[in-house]
Amino acid sequence: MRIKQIILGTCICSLMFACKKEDNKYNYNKVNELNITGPKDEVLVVQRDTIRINPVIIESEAGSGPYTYKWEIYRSADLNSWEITPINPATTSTVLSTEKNLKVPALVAPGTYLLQYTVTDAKTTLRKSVRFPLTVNGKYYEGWLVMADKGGKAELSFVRQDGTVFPDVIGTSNPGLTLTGKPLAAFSGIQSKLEDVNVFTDQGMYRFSANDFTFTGKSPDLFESPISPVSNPAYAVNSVNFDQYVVSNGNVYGTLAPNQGIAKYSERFNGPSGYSVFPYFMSGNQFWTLFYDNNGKRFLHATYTSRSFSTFPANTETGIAFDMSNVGKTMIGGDRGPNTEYFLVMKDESSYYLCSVLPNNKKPAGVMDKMDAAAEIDKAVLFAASGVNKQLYYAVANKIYLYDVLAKSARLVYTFPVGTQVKDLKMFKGQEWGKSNPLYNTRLVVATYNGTEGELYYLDLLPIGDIANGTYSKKFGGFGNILQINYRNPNL
Amino acid sequence: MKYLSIILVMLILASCKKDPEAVFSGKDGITFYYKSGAEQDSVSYSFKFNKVPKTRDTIWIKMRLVGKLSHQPRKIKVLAGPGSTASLGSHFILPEISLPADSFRVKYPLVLLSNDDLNTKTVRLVLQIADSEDLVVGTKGQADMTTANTVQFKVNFSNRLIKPDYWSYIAYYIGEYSAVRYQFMIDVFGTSDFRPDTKGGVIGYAQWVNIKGKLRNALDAYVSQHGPLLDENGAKVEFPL
Repeated sequence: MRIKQIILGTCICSLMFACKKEDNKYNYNKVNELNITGPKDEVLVVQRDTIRINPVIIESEAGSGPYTYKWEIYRSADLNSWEITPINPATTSTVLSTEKNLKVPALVAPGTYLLQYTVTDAKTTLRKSVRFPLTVNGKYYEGWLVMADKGGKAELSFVRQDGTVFPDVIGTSNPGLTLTGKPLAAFSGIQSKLEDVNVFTDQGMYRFSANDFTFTGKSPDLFESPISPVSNPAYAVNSVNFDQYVVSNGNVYGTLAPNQGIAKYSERFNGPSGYSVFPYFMSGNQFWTLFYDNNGKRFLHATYTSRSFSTFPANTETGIAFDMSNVGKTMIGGDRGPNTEYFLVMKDESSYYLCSVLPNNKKPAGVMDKMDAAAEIDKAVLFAASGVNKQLYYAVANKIYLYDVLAKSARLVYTFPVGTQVKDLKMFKGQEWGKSNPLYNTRLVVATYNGTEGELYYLDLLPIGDIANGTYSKKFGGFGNILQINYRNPNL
Repeated sequence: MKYLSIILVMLILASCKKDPEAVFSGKDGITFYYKSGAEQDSVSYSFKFNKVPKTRDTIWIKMRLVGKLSHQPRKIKVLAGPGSTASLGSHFILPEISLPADSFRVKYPLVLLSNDDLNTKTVRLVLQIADSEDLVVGTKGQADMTTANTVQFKVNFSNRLIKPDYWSYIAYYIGEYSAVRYQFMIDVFGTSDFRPDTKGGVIGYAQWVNIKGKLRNALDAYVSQHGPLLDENGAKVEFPL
């Protein structure tokens, strides 16, 4: 007992001796917080041009610092998580500058990036980081692909969004490359990791980078089985961005989009014997892959990542405009209208029809209206639909008609000079993914040929569908005999 | 007694000292090994896989050292272990091999023989590592993040088509296994190796998407000429959409 008391007393004494007055040498200062502001919108720059950002830095405690600065650039894919930290670094970030303001050339490949700006207070080592989205555009970042026959040879030109015309982009980028065969069409495929332009001649398909038109491959190498000779080609990516499809001679070939995996285009899609699809692709979130079989006169569908078509079950319901499994008509054209409703023009022995399909619906059959009040519809093969109004434009010779789907009648909205032939007709509109543009669905783009020169016209539209001011807003010339036009959408 | 306790505690505390650096010592061992996830401790083999008929074939099984390198070759001993139904001499040969000098890996060349009785049955060989004069049985189990050691390696083999060990990983694309289905695939593609890239092969997801379409086309062609393709159980062979 006594020993315990001695030990306890010793401990207490030791603890008390350990106490001493605090020196109180500390100063409590407020932490300097930085507020950094820069461009509110995405920074857009053309490759090799200068990226300029002059951020404004406001200190909460005036006179703090000095500061050090760091500008890093990286892709979202290079990031392990939402923020770069010492334990969570971007795998391949690159330091662009250590100056306060950024002024460096954009030497990275075209694409979307994030710029991270880090300001470090050298006195406290406290850091503040902000990020700015950056898009580096290639020279051919967005615009119209104009496929023409010039002196019997394929010539692809590019009308950039800003109005700059680049003739013969393939020849310019690939001096030794010759496209063999009769030119037919060009399509862009833009999606994550997919930035291609596919060009078809009657001898095959050629693939190019959409950013600089460098050659990246051709058929038959890109296919498991030959597709030539090519006729009535089409190319599309489905709305879920899983698959790419090529149509030739009524056959369909598929491959995954690069973000899903790399393979050649498949053999001809499996499907009902003798199918022959019209070269137009429809896609929705109930029916991912829809084609119309002009041989079987019915729709065919497939799910994504499938290389086999199924037919629809026979419709036994009343009140349905038509039976997807047995339409009994021949498709001659079509385009996507509002709310993923596709307007297709069909014919039978006696009449022409406006058929609509809604692949977002479990019951995709829309309307099947006779086009009795559509002048010259029997001569039309070129169609373009508004994505916001139920309006379908069609061209016949030098005339453009507007078919009002709800009123079921057409009216003439534009006439080119006699001797001018409309060669293609497209509505300026986005894909069902990607960036939007305020001009979408307000501009009809028309390619013409007058026997000596191909021209491209922008016809701006009024909400009722008529041509604003009764004339074109822009015109580009100097092309060969234009065969087809298509839009090269901006990279994602 | 209390003083004794205090003294004991002090002695115990005084006996603490820094742990010496741990260094492995003991006889060096040898094991089979495989990539975790992508590979397994077993493999299937059919002489029917070969386009050119063979009466014997060699399977190479990966082995590695558990221990220190040596400048001398060291003998490895492999036996047919419990559970084997294959017979030494008529179904397989176990060559004597050594781990080469200054090597920590070697491939064991198991020789399989195509005996006539394999036309009607499948046999199993359980390869078992045994102690040799140079190398003992190594430590089994997960060796690092990507590989595992094993001291037994199983080989199932036959002259008939045999269900590949990876089939469950590709059944989603091509359906459940049957010998007729598998033979049809071999006939269409001219190969018996459909090992997916997730199991040590080369066929990736993008290729599988195309393979099933090609098989459906080939089956349609077959059916139009010969009628439905029935498997060994009488079921109609079909391939997924």
